[in-house]
Amino acid sequence: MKQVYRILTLGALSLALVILIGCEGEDVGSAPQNFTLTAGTDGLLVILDWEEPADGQPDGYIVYFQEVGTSDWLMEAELDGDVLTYTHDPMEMTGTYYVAADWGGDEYDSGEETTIPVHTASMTIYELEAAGNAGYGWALTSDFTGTTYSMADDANAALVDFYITNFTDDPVGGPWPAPWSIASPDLAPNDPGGSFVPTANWRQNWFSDPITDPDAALPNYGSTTYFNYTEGIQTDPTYIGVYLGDEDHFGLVEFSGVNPSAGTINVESWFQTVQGLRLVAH
Amino acid sequence: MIRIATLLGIVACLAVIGCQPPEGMAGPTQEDFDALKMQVETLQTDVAQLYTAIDSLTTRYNAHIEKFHKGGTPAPAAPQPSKPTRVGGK
Repeated sequence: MKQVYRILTLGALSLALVILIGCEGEDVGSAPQNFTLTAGTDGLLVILDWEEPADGQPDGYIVYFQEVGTSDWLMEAELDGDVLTYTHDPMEMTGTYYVAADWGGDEYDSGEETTIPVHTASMTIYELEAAGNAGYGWALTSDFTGTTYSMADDANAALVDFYITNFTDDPVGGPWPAPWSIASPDLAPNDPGGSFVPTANWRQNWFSDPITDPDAALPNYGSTTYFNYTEGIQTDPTYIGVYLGDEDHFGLVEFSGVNPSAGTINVESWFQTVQGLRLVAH
Repeated sequence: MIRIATLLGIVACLAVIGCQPPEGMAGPTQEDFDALKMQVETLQTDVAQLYTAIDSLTTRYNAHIEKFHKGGTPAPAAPQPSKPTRVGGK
């Protein structure tokens, strides 16, 4: 009889062990999928969208936001499990977001997405007739960084987002007197100093008046806020909002250190990768 | 078996031939575009030469007027590009 009890006890223990091992990993839970950011219609609100986790509907979602220049993740919203979108008003600030799916108190995080503009460090750019690249463009199909380009090469027509000019036919070797302007590339072939610029399908972009607060949201695009060129960038520093009409993207450029006798000026930029979003805080 | 395979091969060949677009209906080819590009470039060169010729003629005409017809009306100079008008976005 004792033998039978021993066998039964061993059997029960084995069964319990098997059940315990079998239950390992059965906690259902996975992260939200396809998390994206888009701009609200006014260009100031950020719309977060995601899809349900692979394991189905969680108990809820938690939206986190880390403002630019800070290291703390702030909980922005707690949402029901059937909600798949959230509109955030960042008060003209940029930052990084993620959404966590809440499964019984355990959080499963989506990837991070950001509205912090892509920064391109200061580089030298030339007045149209000076001996260097007068064009500047952002890499719209890759990492959105800025590069200078020659305005003498029609192969650059699709790559240049603006060029620098004083709208004067200056003497060879300069000087290149102020006022200097940031101008839409399509003006270059008919620029008084642009006789060498080939006729090509140069881009048409738009520029704000000088901006006083480089961290504030850029003006909304319109006929009274953005122009085919803006004069007076030789003032140190000058901030200008740029609007790429074809792609609906905004960027901020800073000009400094103009040198009229060398024909150079420094340009630094911040490019907003979220289409239609006017936020450039950095 | 060989006959069936041969027949199928013939049918496939006929289908391929039959699917070819009629001559002139396949749209412009790369060669057409290249020819057009060459024509445009030739035209641009011609226009540039025309401008040079007009400038030369204007200079000679004005020199002639200055020498033989004092007070005569010189030929108008070609318009120079000027600073564009600042316009707002659309």
